[in-house]
Amino acid sequence: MHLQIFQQQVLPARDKLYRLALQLLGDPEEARDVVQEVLLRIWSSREQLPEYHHVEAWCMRMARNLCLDKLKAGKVRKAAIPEISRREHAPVTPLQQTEYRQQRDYLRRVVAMLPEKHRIVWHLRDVEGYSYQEIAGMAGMSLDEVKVNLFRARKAVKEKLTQIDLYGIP
Amino acid sequence: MEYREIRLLVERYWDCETSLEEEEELRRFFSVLRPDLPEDLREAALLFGHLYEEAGATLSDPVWNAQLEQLIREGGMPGKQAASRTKMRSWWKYAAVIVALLAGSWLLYRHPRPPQSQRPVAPLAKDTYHDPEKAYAMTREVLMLMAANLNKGKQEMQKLSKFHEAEQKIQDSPATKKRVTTD
Repeated sequence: MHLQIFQQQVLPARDKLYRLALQLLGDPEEARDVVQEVLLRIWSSREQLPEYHHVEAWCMRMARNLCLDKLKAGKVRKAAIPEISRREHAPVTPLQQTEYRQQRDYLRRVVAMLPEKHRIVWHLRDVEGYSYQEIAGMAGMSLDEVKVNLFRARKAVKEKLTQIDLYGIP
Repeated sequence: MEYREIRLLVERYWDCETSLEEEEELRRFFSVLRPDLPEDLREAALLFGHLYEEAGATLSDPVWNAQLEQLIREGGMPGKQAASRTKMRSWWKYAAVIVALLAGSWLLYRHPRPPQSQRPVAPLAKDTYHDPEKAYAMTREVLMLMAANLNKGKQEMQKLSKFHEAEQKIQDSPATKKRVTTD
């Protein structure tokens, strides 16, 4: 039974766990380590699985905590994130590709500079599409805190995006 | 969808007034690069295109995924032990370097090298043969002996490299990998 819950509710969340860890740590290898650690911990305490109503939220919270621990311990080294485009009509000419890469790098830097709370909320809402309620559970915040942090994160991103229009990519 | 509607949605997005469905709609709309996009929607296109891409990042390591699934099917756990073994191995490397440095420092401390001026000067080579032909023959003999020994050593090395290749093949075989991760 535990194995079934694990396979049906925990394993499908591994890409989400990976993306959250990648967002917070900025290194694919470190992010993979975090996913592995989360799965290990969940499996070790699999007896508790049936007690959780929202197993995915439990996993995400654990991943977030592990990432924050790693960041606090200063164990994270940044590495290049592989560029794989899944957009239709992806840029084809070298000029378009360079421009596209520059813009993505800039956006990543903008997001990376956001305060931790803003970044977590922004990622959970805008990348993963969780509801405010779910984010509150995952990030350990109140509903109001989630909304305020999201508003500030979006505002900061918007300001930086406007700078691109005014001055081009820095 | 009309650009006018998209504009309104983008405005509401910045004010955090959009629902999850509307945000998904924006991501989907901007997931396609549109060359005819109005200028005022460029920044939104950049952002939502980025969000769409970020949401597609996966654990794109089929080997890791396959190992994980198999181990879970068998009731074991992900390659945690393999990971900690790698960490242990790097600790041994650090420890070995520290020990080597300490030993080197101790040797230097115990047996300091005398200054250049006090070091004995090696005597100049002296001729041991008076007949140049004899000297040439002897040198040739010595060099031939060295070459023969070197060739013998090379043959042994080739045998060793065969062993090494065989060992690599065994280590790379899926059966061995599986055993290592389950250990």
